[in-house]
Amino acid sequence: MIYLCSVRRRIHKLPSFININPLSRPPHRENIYISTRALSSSGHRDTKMAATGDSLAPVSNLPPPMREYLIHFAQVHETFRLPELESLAKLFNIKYEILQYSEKSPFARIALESPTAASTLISRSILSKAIYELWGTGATYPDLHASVKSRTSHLWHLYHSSSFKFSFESFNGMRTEPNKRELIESFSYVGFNGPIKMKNPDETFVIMEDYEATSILDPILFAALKIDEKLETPSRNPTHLEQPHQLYFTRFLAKSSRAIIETYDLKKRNYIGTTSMDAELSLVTANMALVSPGKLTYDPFVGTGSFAVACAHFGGISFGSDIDGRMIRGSKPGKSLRSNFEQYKIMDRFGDMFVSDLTNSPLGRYGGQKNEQIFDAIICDPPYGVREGLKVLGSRDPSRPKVPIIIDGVAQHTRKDFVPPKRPYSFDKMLNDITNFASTHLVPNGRLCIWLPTADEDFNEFSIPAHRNLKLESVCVQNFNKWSRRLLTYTRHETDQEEVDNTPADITEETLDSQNPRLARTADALNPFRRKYFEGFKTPPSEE
Amino acid sequence: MKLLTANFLSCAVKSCKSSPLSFPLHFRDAELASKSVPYNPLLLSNLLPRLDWTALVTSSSELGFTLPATKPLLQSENIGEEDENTLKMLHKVLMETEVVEGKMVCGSCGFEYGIHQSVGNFLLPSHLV
Repeated sequence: MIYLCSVRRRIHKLPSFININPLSRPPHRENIYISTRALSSSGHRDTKMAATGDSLAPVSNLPPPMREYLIHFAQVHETFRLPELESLAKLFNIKYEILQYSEKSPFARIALESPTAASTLISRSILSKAIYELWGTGATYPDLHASVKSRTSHLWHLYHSSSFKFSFESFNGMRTEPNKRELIESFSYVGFNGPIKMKNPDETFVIMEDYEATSILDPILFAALKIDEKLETPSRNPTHLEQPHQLYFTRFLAKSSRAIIETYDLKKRNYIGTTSMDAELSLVTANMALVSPGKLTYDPFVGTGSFAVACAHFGGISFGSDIDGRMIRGSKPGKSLRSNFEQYKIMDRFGDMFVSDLTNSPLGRYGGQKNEQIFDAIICDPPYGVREGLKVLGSRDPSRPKVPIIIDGVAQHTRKDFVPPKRPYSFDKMLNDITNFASTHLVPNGRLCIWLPTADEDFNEFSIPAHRNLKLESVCVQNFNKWSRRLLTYTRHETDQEEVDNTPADITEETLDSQNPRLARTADALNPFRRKYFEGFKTPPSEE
Repeated sequence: MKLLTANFLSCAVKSCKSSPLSFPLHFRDAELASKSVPYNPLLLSNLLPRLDWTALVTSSSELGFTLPATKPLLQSENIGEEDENTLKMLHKVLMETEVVEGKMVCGSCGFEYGIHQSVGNFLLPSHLV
């Protein structure tokens, strides 16, 4: 919630604020603010020390050029937030240090080299809202004021004539308007004398308050509150405190890309299917895959193109394929995967879409490993096989002779309306095929992002697909009622890695057959998630 | 199906992957369309190093375009007039030209992949998987 308040009158009453020795300060903000010195390794270590100390290091005393910033996260998809930030830092080659973070709080403190680095880092973020320069923090208002005064009094003169406004961001708590105004006026010692502008001010200063008990990082403090979360019919949420336990005072720097979720909202998209990934998580996935202008991306289960569109938004050239060509072409004119690219005016980044099967893919070209390495990113949400069962090219009958089927002298596969036979496919085999495909077709340091479903009771036995050439970067979880899905992100190693002895042998249909000869080759035997789905949990996954 | 895509595709039949004849696939009975696409020089200059130029020259000539025999090199710094012409040409060939209907044929096994409504179909019949 943004609250705007006028402090002009108060400042006019106390004009002496504006005369805090401006002449004794360097005339240019840049001189104070942006140090061009490279961050030495020792500087990095110092920052860590500052982070682990009992008190906050004053902004001015942080080892140059590191400064403290505050990221305001969206309080959603919490396990995705840091991996997204790490990916963006890698993409933009930005040095950073997380100083304070809790999944229970939208406010996180981070050290960065410059305001430019801060703005760049957040510019593409979907799961954060904005980044701020941190002026002070404390558990109470007197603490906060002391912190602001000790950290930033040398900076106040820089803003004394800028237009500005104050706003409030309260998490799981609220204040009355007069109460807010009173708190805003308690900051009048900073002596800003510029005009107050509600729209497009030069500077926005924000008071942030965290009322959420579970975000308290100190376990002793939290235990002392004796919060009973299991209260029957509580009149208010027991973890929402009466008073905030953490306060921040910040100067706004830059917004994230969170607003584009609206632009790509599925409700407003021309062509979608029953399994289209929502805009927010598609864009997050593209961030995790480090998609950037001119990079080549591929989705082997492209469907209606949710990931393809998200990758193109960030400048990637999107390729995709699907075993079902109807998904790509669409049902009627003007409703196709391509029409989505036209709707968003990103046709210059439409690579191509084609019909193919991952196990017999036309991708790749003769001439050795380098020629096979095509994509910077491979992103997919493989079919869960709940409704139809997973399918792959081939005959259901393995004993069938490998000869063309000829009827009335015509080889059937040459007919225009020929539909190639498909057979059931195991989920584990599919994962194996995806990681092998990625190992072959990703460029060195390219990324693979896979979404996988799990029944929650399986959580402990959930095994993360591994491949010797793929390094697991992160596992993010999205919880539903009785199941969850995970986003796994991998980086393709620079060079091929040695085969490790204890790597399990490739999963083949033969090994599955021998494990359970009676059930093998039925859709349930090949897909434990599908079996769990029909045996137990009632909440339908996105395929329904 | 774009010429750009054809530069990354070979025959889907596994036994053809070891044959140099499986790449590139050869266009046949191709019906072309020229679609207006926004010009994106950054994207094109990123694509250029990834192209197999010999294969692109082959595919282009099958569709009636003549490209220089050797891959043009861009000046590493700012894009000059000559580079601009190169990129414009690449834009027209790679991004704006599409095979709407036709076939792509493997030079090794002779299998024909259909292209219908600009979408290539690389699914194989049972006897080839």
